[in-house]
Amino acid sequence: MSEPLPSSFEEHPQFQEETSLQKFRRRLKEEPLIPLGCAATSYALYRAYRSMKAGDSVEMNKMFRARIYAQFFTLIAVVAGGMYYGSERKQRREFEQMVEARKSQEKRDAWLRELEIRDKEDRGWRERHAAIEAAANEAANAKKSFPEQDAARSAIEPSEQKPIGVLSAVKELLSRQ
Amino acid sequence: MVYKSKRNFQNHPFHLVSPSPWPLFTSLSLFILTTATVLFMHGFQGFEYLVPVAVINVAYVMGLWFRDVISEGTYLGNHTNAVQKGLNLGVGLFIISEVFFFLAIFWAFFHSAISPSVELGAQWPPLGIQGVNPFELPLLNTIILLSSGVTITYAHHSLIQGNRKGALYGTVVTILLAVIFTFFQGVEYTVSSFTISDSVYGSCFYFGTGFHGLHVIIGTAFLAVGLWRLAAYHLTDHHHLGYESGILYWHFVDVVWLFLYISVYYWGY
Repeated sequence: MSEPLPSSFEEHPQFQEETSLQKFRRRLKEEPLIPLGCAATSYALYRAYRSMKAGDSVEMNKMFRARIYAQFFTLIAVVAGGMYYGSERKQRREFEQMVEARKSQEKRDAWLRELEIRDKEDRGWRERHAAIEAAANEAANAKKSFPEQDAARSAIEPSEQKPIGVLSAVKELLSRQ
Repeated sequence: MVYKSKRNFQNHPFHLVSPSPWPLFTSLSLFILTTATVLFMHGFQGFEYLVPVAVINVAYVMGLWFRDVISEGTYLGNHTNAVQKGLNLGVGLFIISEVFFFLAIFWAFFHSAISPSVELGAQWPPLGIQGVNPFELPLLNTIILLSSGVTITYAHHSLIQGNRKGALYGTVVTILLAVIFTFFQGVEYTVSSFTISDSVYGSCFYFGTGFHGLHVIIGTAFLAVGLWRLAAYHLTDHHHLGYESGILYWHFVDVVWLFLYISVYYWGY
């Protein structure tokens, strides 16, 4: 049912299923230049904003340029990281898809088992019910001499313990209330 | 005589604003916009027509108000150095409020993306959602937006160096790049495999990129007004507050895109 993983995954312990926080940390470690570049870009923009407040247009322009350099650097880091880790990420994606397929297969199998058990239970219940009905019919046939008696009821409730007749039935009804 | 001429000069650098209907009109049009949007989002019939009308109304009143501000600054000489300081402060506070607005959007994104709940299949992008490949159209858009940052910085540099032509061309190219960016975002929206109602992924994606796109459109209008004022000789190499604010806003919008690109497109793919 659960296929063994291809051997190419075995020597990669990082391909074990990871939590989102682990993924976040792994990607931070893999590409530390990206958050660094983001921070530098934001800092340059902040410095530009400070220069505007100080009314220094020349400094502001310098900071705008620094912002562009930092952002360009970040973009290069993203593209380079995407190329460098491209094949590994593809492999990881395939692995994740395989795990997903295996899980759904397991789930489907579990459901099939569950449905089979339910079907078995249902069939057993039907058999028992049919037996009871057959017994009731048999009892009704045996007691044809008392047509006022409900056939099925007389089969389920042993009638020999009770007196038979309309009057006693009414009495019994009244006493039940 | 002395008394009369003294009355014609103010002995302080501040701009005491004259009565104006625009604050009230802005409040009313924003109220109509909010009400119409809320009712539209709750499925009340007919409000899908009132929302665009309200947006146009807000833009129109803003245009009238800024027209007055431009007149006061350019023709009436009300924007002294002290007044410019106050206007700069206002722009700064506005940018800070925008920073926190986007911070909230990123918070919503990371809240779901870092810890995807079991309803999402405990993964990000959620089960059944195919994210946008960051190295296709989004990368091109990133380069376009970064290039527009280069051209607007060139325009700014030219302006403070007194190079009118460079400032004009730089701004024109920036606006063209901005329009191309907006167009490509529209293309990406139409070809993407998920909608805003496809799980929290779709909601956060369109929430973030949609509001960024709206800011690009507003920034484009901001720079277009600056371009018109450049062409109409409103601006000097030392007095160009509106234009410089537009440039700062543009750089801010570009930095927001960097964060969107890295977290929503690249990291979330």
